[in-house]
Amino acid sequence: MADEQIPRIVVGIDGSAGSMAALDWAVQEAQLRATTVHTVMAWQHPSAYGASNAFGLGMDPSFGTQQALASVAETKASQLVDEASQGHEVPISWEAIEGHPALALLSAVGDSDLLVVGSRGHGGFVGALLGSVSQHVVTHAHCPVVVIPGRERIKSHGKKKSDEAEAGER
Amino acid sequence: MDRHSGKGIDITVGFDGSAASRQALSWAVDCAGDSSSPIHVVGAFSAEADESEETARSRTEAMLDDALAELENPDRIDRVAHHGDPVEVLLRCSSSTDLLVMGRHGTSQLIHSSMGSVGDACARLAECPVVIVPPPR
Repeated sequence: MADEQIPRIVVGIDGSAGSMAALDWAVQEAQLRATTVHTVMAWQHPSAYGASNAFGLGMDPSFGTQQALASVAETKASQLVDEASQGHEVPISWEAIEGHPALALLSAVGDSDLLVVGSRGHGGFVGALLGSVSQHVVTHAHCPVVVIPGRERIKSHGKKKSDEAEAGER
Repeated sequence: MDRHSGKGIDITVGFDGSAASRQALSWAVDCAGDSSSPIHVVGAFSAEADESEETARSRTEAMLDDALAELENPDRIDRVAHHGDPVEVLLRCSSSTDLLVMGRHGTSQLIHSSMGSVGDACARLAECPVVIVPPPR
């Protein structure tokens, strides 16, 4: 369990548009609360999600592959955090955790933290069920979980009220 | 108004009288902090077989009033009871608020709507960010 002394905002990231929207929201919320953001990227060996023969994917299922996958996840997490760190002062940390994304997030978050996830990650489609990771953490987390809607969902409803609010303020 | 625009926030709490929804309301009050942000507490109601819609509305409004009476500073908090399925009511609210806050129900409390678990459905379909607050441990 993470340090519960300082409530943080923890975000699951996988590089998908949904997870980047979640990270954007988390950074802005952290500014309001004067707290920090911690991002978690989970990675798994292909055999863990059903590719029983990793050779079929052109991979050598050895310890070297394990290290290579970890390294790819770390590089990606670091890159995404660098991009998200532009233009504000909110400290953003990251970690890459081996395991199922939902379990990785639950292991990284403390009871007093706020967990932020996109409504779905890679592989979703408009109108899809809530992503399995989001659904799992919403059901099992001991802290509040914020689910950020996909941007296309907002667009699909046409004019958003923020547009109307701006119009009203003119 | 966008929660993050710096111009204020608008928080809506789905409330059904359960321990989880009380926790959600408490979280929303903490979240608003010292700001003058309005908090709307929303209850959805449907008439039971032996009551009129007006009776059901009064019953729900009384439940919301009780919840507000327990708060230390209820001034900026308003409450409204809407007729309809909880998911439909809250989804309508999600188009005109910045943050929709609701409690997570345990399996012992079978509070579901025709669209499935209220929390799941709202997180899936709402136009604004949805906060699911776990019940007290």
